[in-house]
Order: sequence, then C-alpha cells, then structure tokens
Amino acid sequence: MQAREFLVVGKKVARVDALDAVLGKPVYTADLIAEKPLFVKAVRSKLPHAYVKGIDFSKVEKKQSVRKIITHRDIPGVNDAGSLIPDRPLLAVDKVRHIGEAVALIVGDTVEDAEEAAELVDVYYEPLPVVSNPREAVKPDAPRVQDRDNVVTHFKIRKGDVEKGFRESDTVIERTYKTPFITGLPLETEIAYAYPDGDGRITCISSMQNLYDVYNKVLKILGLPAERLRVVQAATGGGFGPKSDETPIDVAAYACLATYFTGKPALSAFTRSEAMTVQCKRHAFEITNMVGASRNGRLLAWKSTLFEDTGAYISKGHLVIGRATFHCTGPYEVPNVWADGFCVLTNNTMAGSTRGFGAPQAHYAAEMTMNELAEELGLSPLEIRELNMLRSGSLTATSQKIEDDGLLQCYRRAVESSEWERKIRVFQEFNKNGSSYRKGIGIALLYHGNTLGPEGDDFATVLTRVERDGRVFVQTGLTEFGTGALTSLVLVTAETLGLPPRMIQLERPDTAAVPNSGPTVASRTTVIGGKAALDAALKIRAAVASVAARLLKTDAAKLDFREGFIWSSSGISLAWEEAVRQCYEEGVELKALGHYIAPPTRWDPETGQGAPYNQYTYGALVAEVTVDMETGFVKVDRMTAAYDVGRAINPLGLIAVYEGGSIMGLGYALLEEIVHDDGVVLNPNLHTFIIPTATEAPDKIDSIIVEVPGPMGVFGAKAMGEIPVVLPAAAIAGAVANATGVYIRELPLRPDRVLAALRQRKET
Amino acid sequence: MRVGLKVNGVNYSLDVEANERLSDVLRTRLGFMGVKEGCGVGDCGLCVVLMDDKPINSCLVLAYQADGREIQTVESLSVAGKLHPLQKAFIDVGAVQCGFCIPAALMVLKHLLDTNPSASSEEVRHALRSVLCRCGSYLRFLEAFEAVRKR
Amino acid sequence: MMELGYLRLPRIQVHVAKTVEEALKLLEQDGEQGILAGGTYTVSALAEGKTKLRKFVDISRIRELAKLREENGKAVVGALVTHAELSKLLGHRIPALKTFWKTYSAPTVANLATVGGSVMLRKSSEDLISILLVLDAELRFQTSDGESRVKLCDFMVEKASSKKLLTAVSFEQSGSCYFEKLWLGVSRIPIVSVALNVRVEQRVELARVAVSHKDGNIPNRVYAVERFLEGRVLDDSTVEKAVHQLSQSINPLSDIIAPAWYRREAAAVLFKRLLKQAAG
Repeated sequence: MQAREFLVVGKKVARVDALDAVLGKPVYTADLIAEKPLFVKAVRSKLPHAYVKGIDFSKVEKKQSVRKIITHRDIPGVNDAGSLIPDRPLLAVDKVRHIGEAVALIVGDTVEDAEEAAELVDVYYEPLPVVSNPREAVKPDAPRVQDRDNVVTHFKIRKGDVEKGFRESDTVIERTYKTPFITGLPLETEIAYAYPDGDGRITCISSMQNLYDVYNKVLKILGLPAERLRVVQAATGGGFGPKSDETPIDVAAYACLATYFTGKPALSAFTRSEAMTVQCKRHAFEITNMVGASRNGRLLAWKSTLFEDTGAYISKGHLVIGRATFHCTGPYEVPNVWADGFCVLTNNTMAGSTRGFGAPQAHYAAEMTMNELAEELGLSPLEIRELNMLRSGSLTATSQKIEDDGLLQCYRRAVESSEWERKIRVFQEFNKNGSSYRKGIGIALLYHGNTLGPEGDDFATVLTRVERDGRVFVQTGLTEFGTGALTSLVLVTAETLGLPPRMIQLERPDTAAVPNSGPTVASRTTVIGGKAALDAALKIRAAVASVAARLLKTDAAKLDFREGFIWSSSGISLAWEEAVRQCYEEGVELKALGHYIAPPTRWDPETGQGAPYNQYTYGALVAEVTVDMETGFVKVDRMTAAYDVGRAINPLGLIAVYEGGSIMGLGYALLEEIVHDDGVVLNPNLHTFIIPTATEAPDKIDSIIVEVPGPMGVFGAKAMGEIPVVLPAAAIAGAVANATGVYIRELPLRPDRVLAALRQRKET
Repeated sequence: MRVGLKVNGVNYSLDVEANERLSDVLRTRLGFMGVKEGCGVGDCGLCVVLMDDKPINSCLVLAYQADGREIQTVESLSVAGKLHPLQKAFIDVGAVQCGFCIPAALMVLKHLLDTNPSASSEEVRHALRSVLCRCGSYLRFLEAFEAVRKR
Repeated sequence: MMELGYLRLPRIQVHVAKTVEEALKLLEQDGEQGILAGGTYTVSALAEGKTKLRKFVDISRIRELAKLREENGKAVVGALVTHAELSKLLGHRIPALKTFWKTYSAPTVANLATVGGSVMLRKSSEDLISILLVLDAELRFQTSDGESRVKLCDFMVEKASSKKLLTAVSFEQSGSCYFEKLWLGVSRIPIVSVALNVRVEQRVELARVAVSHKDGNIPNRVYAVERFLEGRVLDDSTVEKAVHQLSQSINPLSDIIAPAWYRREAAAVLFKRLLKQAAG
C-alpha cells in the first residue's frame, strides 16, 4: 500500500452505533426477548464464609410455577465458572466463600415466581471465621479461604542492589497508601437470554465483553459439543471490566442451564444490588513504597511491597498484581528496584478485571510518593519528575529500554496547557485571602504497558466480506460496549479500501459466525484488533486489486484506493462497486479472515527483569482543585489530560474516552468505595455507592492528543481505553496536598477523610 | 386494573397488574425499549420519560397511576425520519459511548430546552443530575445542549 | 422479594381512593395497609425488599389534596403537592425552598415526591422536614372523627398511627428562611442539612433552627440554640457561641454516607454560614 496521508483515519467521524443509541433502538439484551421467557434466580448466601450443611427446597418443590431447581449436583458438565483459573464453582458445593455466592438456581414462570420461590429456600450454614483483609490473611494461622495458601501469587522485581542504593541516598522516605474496593459499575447489569433455536442448539444473547470466554465456559458447564451452543453479544451498556470477568459467565450459564433442562426460552438478570455485591471489584491495595534519592532529586532506590486483596476467588488477581508490580515505580528511571507483589485471598467479594487493571492503584502510590519525596528535598512536583521521568534510552523497573520521548511530550503539553506556573502563583495569592477555601494544582504521570503483555496470548481475528453491491461487512469476536473501538476497526477498513466509513457495517459478535478473537480487554481492540482488521482489509484489497489492475491495464501495486474509487497512476479510475461486481462475475472471493498476534513478551519471574510489554502508552494529567477547609469537600475545577495515543484513529471518539475516564477516575479519587464489614457488602446500591454525577464533573477537561507512533499497534496506535482512569486519583490527591499541605494516603478523599486529615495536621 | 394512557401521541388502553410499573408497561407491553432499567429505585434515572411534560422516573410510577396521562419517550424525538436537534448534536459532539443512558439524557435535556433554553451551565448540570452516566459523557451532554440552544 | 431483588415489584393489591372519606374507610378496614401517594418511597421500598406490606390505599387521585393556597398569610399546602411544585410556587418567597430545589439530589424524583410523603417518613433523608420545622409547620390530619391538627415538631416524636390521613401542611411564608445541605453524588441520603428561620430587628426576635440529624437520623428543631439566640444581637460572638451550642446539641448517627462526628462538625459549619447569610 502506498504511503499517503490518511483520508479517514484521524478525521472527525460519528461513531457507527451512535444513531441507534439516540433513537433508543432496541439493541440491548433485554430488548431482544422474543417470547415470554422463564426466569432464573440465584439463591445466594447471606454469610461470607460458611459450610453449606444442607438446602431445604420443600417449600418450593411442589409449586406449579417453579419449573426446575438446580444445584451443583445437576450441572451436566463441569461446575467451574472461573475465567482463567478453575477455582470458582458456578454453584457452591460444600462451602461458600463470600457473601452472595450462588448455592442454587430457581427457574420460575415469571420474575415474581422465581424471586418469591428463591426467598422460600432454606439453606443451612455452619459459619466459619471470616478473614477480611490481606494483612490477616497472610498470617500462618489465618482461616484458609480455598484449599490452598491464601497467598496466591508472589510477583517480584529484583533490579540492581537496592540496599546499596539506599545507603547511597541522601534522603530516604517510606510511605504506605491504601486504595479501596470499587465496582466498575456498568449501568446495564448482568443479563442473558437463552432459547432453543430449533436445530438442537441453544442460542444465548447476552451482555458481555468477552464473547469466547462466555461461550467456552458455558459449553463446559453444560457439557455440550461445540456446535450445540451459540453465543451472541448484544449491545452492552458499559463494560469497565466486570463484563469481561466471571459474572457474565454466571448469568449466561444460568439462562442456558434453564433452557437445557426445560427446552424453553429463559432469562436471567441480576438486580442492581445483586450485581454490585457479586460482580468483580477493582482490587483493594495496600502499597508501601520506600524510596531513596540523592540530594538533587535523582532516584537511587525504590522498594515496593504491594498487598492485593483479590477477595474469595482469584479471577484475574494473579495478573493484576503483575501489572501493578511492574508499574510500581511509576514512569521513572530507578537503577535499583526491589518489589514484592502479593495476591491474597480473603472472604471479601471477588475482585477481578476492572479498568486500569492495577495501574490506578500503583500510580496513586507512586505519584504520591514522588510528591512527598519532592517536598522532603525542597523540590517542586515538576522538578522531581523532570529529573527522573522515562525518556528515550531510559530503563524501566524491569530494565526494558524505552524507545521514545512520548512521556516528555505529554508532560510538556500538560504543563504548558494547564498554565502550571501561572496557576501556582495565582493559587498562592488566592490562598492568602482568608476565606475557607484553598486552591491547589497537582500533576501525575503514567506509563502503561500495552496490551495484554504477560496476561495472555495477544491475538485478534476479524472477518471481512464484501457484498455484491459493494457494501463491506466487518465481523469480529471483539465487542463494543462504549469504548468506540469497533468504530476504529471500521475506519481502518475504510482507509485501506479507500471507502467512506458509511459503506462499512459492523455485524454482531456471534460465535456461529466468527472464530475466537481473544478477550476485549486491556485496551487492545484498536491496537491489536485494528491489525487484524487491517490484515483482512489488505487481503480484500489485494483480491479487488487483482481484478481492477487488469481492467485498468496497470500493475496492482500502482493502484490507489481512495474516496470510493480505484485509481491507476495515469488518472483513470474505476468505481469500487464496479470492481466488486466484476469480482463477483469472475468468482473472485471477497471474504477474508484477518489475523494478528502480538510478539510474545518475556521476562524472568525470579527477577521481574525483561520486556513484559511490546510498547507503552504515556500520559500526564494536571488537576486543579478547590478545597473547602471547613467541610473537607474537594471540587475538581479543571483537568488537563495529555496522552500519547500513538495514532489517533478516531479523535472525536478519543475525546469521550478522555473525559469519561477522567470523570470515572475522579469518582475513584473522591467518592467511591465498596465497603465490606467482615465480608458483608454494606453498600450494594446507587444511593450508598457514590459515583460522579453531572455536578461533580469538572468545569473543563482539556483533552490533548499526543501522537508518537508505537511499533505494535495499527498505524502506530497505542492502547487508550483504560488509560484516562489511571491518573485522576494521583493528580487530585497531589492537588489537595498542594492546596492544604496534607498528603492523604487513603482513597477515596471523602470530605470526612479530608477534614480528619486537616484536623490531624493542625494538631501535630 | 384498566389504564388508558397516551404515549408519543397515540392512545393505548390495557389491563395491568397492580405491581406493573410504568417502565414495565412502556417497555414490555408497548415496546418502547428506549426506557431502560438500571436500579428500580429511582437512583440512576435510566427510566426517565416525560409524563404530562415533566421528566420523571418511570420505575417509580405504578402503571395504573399513569391513567389519563401523556407520556413521551425518546422514540418521539425524531419526526418522519428527521432527528431532533439534540439527537443530532449528541452524534456530532461524540456524546454516545455505551448508549445506555442516552434516551434518559435526551429526554431530560429536551425538557430543559423546551422550558428553560437559557439555562445556565449550573442549571443544565442540575437537570442532568437525574441521569447517571458511568461512561462520563456529562461534558459532552453540556456541549450538545450549548450547541442546540445557540441556534 | 429478596433483599437483592428489583426487576419486578412483588405482587401487591391496591385500592384507589377517590375521596378522603373513602381512603379513611379503607384504612379502617385493614391495619396492614400502606398509603401510596407519589410512590417514590413505597415503590423503591418494595423493590428493595424494605417493606413487607403488600396492600395499599392509593390516595394520589384525591385532587383536593394537590392544592396549594393561602390562609391568613400562611401557606396551606395539600399533602399531594410535589417537591418540585412547592419549590416552584414558593421558592421566590422562601429562599430555603429555592435552595431545596437546587440541592435536590435527583430533580426528576422531585416531580413525583410529595410533601405529605416526606413528612410522614420522618427521616433525615427528607430535606423538607427541616425547612417546614423552622417555618412552624402545622399538620392537618383527617380521621374518622374529623380533622385533627398537630404541630410538626410534636409529630416528630409521636407514635405512628395508620388511622389518620395527612391532608395538608400549613406554615409561615418567611422571607428570611434559609437552607444548606451537604450531600454526595445522587444519594438521597444527605450528609447533613440545616434550616434556619430568623427575624432580626436590632436583636433576634425569632429563631428557628432544625437539623436533618438532630437525633440519630431523625430531623428536629434544636431548641437550645433557638433559646440562646432569641433576644441577642447577632454579632460575631453570638454566632460563634450559637454554632458551638449547636454542635453540642445534636446527636447524629454514623452510616455508610458519613460518620457521626463529621455530621456534627459539618452541621456547625452550615449553621455558621446560614447565620452569616441571615445577618446580611
């Protein structure tokens, strides 16, 4: 393909699914129920840790409206709903390990019937002692959550000689930071609709991120051969991690089991409080950073200990601890690093894949550490970062060499655009005015390894075909749930084939139509999926070119596909539709399966040294806050976000991701916490788990796109979907420290926590 | 219980159970799928429709209570295939992400546009407080409203 | 309905009353019935499994209860007047009602929630109660024996009775009635709110103060502070002392939204700001 300026990529386009959304089209799972379905309700444990001694169904067995009762004994295949590690049963066998764990399923004629019946099931428990935090769980005499050590993973980094580094440091500080459980909280809760499709096959329409995770697991649970199940992803109201994790497997299995046993359509859906109790959480972390630096601010040694609470089941905990540990020093060059990351089981609800995957926690701790270190040394937050940030030629904590200056560019753009220096002076003046308000500004930097890296096989497939009339259809196992990434695949295809985007249509992810394309996680859809889409489009293009070249009497290599036409170098053109029609006449196939797999990454598990990721996204976020010193309320006035996206395939789509992630991160910084009290979730609803509303959104979010193309992604693109949620907590906490002089080392910065910290500072 | 209600200009008459909510009837009985279920307790606003020209949470209204009322859902916004300016603005400013809150956000802003087009930024945010958007499109919504009320 | 339920409400039985008399008769017949007005509390309580009631008397169609009028300078607000209507109609006269609207967590709920429903809940989540308390609100109930009137401040500590129906609330239309609230996100559970009604000539002629979390999560007036303020000049020293007195006179509870100590401190801060607002 000739190099040329992009015609479609990087231009302002509407998302392909925006029209359906503004029209309120019925495209979500609950909208697609064709026949009155049975309803499947889970009977869930009311204790966080207990033996299940018996279940008494006598009050519901004889009810006409109850079609089937399912326990672990009834599962036709394997009772396993763990996503990567088979540690979690779909239905509890002899023990429940967290509050709300499912022990039985009731299939009823209606929602009311199923719910009334579930209420009447008596489960007999023998309570067990509850272990409610990692510090307790790692003790030798702690209750065992599973039949294994409570410490599931120990991730290590051993770079250089950290003791020597500390000895040589002029200043050493040690700080501990805590981050809470939260839920990614997709606004559409878990839901699945299953029905027998007449060919001895069960079709399941559901809301999910990972098409084949659900398909493969449900197949095993039902013990069915591959062709007897079909899973289709409907439009999904938000993913954020929970929809890529284990509860979508659960709800699909519930519905499919009901259809399996009754031969009838079945619906299963979680209520809001059910979802918020059992869907995976962002891992709670306790991170202790000990950092040594020379007098002039150069980092010499960094020691991190990370305790990750993964709840009762592992899910992705063994991988999240990896990402958090790899990034534990933040995007800075440190010659000597020692890190220990522990993934620990407790009787809290399961933590799993949640936007950021360990990066928000690690960066909050690292960036606060840098700010506190700067203060110790009498340096500004900018100076300490300028001295130490990763640049071209730097080595990361894993001794991977950084190849570009994307971070520096983001840093400079953010500092400049936020008018940092001027704001510092203005805020200093403001803070002298004697009012009860103080203003502050904070900065945080990130680097984020793309994409799956050590977390799995980073591959994707895309199936593209062209109809006789020239319309192009793109279908993949990668899913859309708000990121807009599938629009990027459309743009890549349109660019390659020289067509306007409206000629490219997406079809639903459907296991009957497409092969496994890997999970839709790790912000890899554009980066990796885009390569597969490019591969498919190039194959189609080659097929069309072979026919067009002959018609235009030129070499295929000299053809230019642009604006719906195919041009020869002498200026003669052929309409795309014409070329396609000719292909059909000649029997040239216009269907291609594009494929891409990222180079495998390697590192030494004993030392954490190596190249765990193929490329890095960089970022800098500046946050400006006003703190009400009398109430502890923190208002975020403005955020300036500069991210190195590699290549902006869909800039308009990026704005939404920038702003949306910033606001979600603001929630993590100031408002959100899922509270467990001895394993019991106290706030599984939206009036006690607080997320940002339009009022909390900042006055302005300045979204700055930096493009330093990376080596791996399509057209140089880098992972972006998760990125904007990683830094807000760090930048906001830094701004609060700037405003008040107080470093608050635990999230969220709720008013009472801020006020208590201010009081404490006054007293000391 | 018998209920007669007008939805998007059309009169409907049907028998409802006491425990059917307006949101249930609009969705499952009358097919207006733009009305979403997000919490059932009036926290998230995804079920917001206009009832007698006021935005309300349809999950908190029992269907029989809507007897004699006029309801407007997102399906009423585009007329003869032509998008309402707010719908077009939502597409143009990139306000749609997962799409689940869009119908509710549109109805809240349509009501504001019709009753208080010179609403301040604070008033627009206040109105939008009724709708939770986890994807965080609030500033996009503000920009869309600004764009439309300027015309 | 399990605690974890929401997609459909449990099966219920409803009788729609066309008049107050009919409503009372229905309530008389069966003590296990709830009252349905705006539904914002009842419907969500049913969805959350917070109520075991399954039979209801619906009063939302009794038109006379949705009226608002004036009587001897006082506002007489029917129990079915919504939160939105109240603030729209009287917000320009009573600043507290304007702030009440501005600080409403989810405005769409305000279009359904009724004044009567709020009062009957007697909980800190109902901002209106603090405002009505400082406006010396009086409740009008209809019983099978005729009308009975109770001061709102007395009603707050009365035992609940299902045999009477709240028909209207009357209160002073004070132009110097102010309200402040701290809350998070869209939560209907406030951190804390304070209402103040003062009349100041040279000295404080009238002082009414109410806090959402006066006792636990029950709103009420803070009489000690009212008594302190009345007769004094509203200078900085008085303000400081009154604010301190307030923080000592309330006993808020801790819950998932905020701890008790914070509510206590924040109430004092809000009260100080209200007093400054009133002093001009």
